[in-house]
Amino acid sequence: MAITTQARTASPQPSGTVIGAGLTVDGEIGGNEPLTIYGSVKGKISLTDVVIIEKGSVVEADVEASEIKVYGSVTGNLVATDRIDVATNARVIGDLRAPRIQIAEGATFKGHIEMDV
Amino acid sequence: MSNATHRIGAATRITGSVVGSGDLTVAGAIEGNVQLDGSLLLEATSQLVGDVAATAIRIGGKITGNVQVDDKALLERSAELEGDLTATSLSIEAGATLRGRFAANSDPAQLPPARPSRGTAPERSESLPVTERVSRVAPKKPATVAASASTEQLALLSRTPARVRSDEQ
Repeated sequence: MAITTQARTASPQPSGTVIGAGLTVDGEIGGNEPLTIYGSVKGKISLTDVVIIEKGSVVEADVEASEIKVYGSVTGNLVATDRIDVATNARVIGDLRAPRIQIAEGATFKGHIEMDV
Repeated sequence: MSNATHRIGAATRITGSVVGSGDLTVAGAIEGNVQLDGSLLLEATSQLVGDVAATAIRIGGKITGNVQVDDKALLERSAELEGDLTATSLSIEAGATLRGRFAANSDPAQLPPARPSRGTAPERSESLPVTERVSRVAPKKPATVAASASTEQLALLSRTPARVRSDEQ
């Protein structure tokens, strides 16, 4: 577990913020860079960029972003200024609001859909 | 799970607690406590307000709060720590700022579980101002205090050989 500069500079840094598996954030996440979640977030997410909720993740939060991609599980309302994609095997309980919304076959969804026209 | 790596980007701010396992790199801001079973790397752009518990830490940014690590702590030249620091060994680069106390984990194998609250140092730790600690602990314990730093305390430390007793200062 020692921290070395070599190990850090050798591994490619992912862009934006990555909440990996095993990490839980309880509170609010804000910012203007991409957010990828493999772990757990409870609270609120408010970004001006893409939020990717990966398979295996657990999100119990309202999410505001430009684009939201769901592969994992979300309980909360999703609002995107651009689009929302709910992938196969994803699970969403909450309302969706975006100009463009896609829910793939096999996804689980409970809530309302509102599209800005 | 503990192999996971996490990153809080420079344009991200978290308000709330961050808990879990794996190595975490922070370039952005966290307002809240961090409890990590893994290494914490705080880059120069990072800002953290809250208590920290981790296995090891490398500080390049600003922390306001107490820091407790099981293993090594490194304050890089850009580090600004305002709070108490508990670690098994400490390295400080020239230019780093530490306002608070440093306490050594005297026996890493028998440490109580890391908990970051203020004012409850473990029994086996010595919680003393950093200038006193040098004389009391350095001879018997390989706590590494390296390089010089910019605060009055650490400037004194850098000019003082590690074995000088505090009553000679």
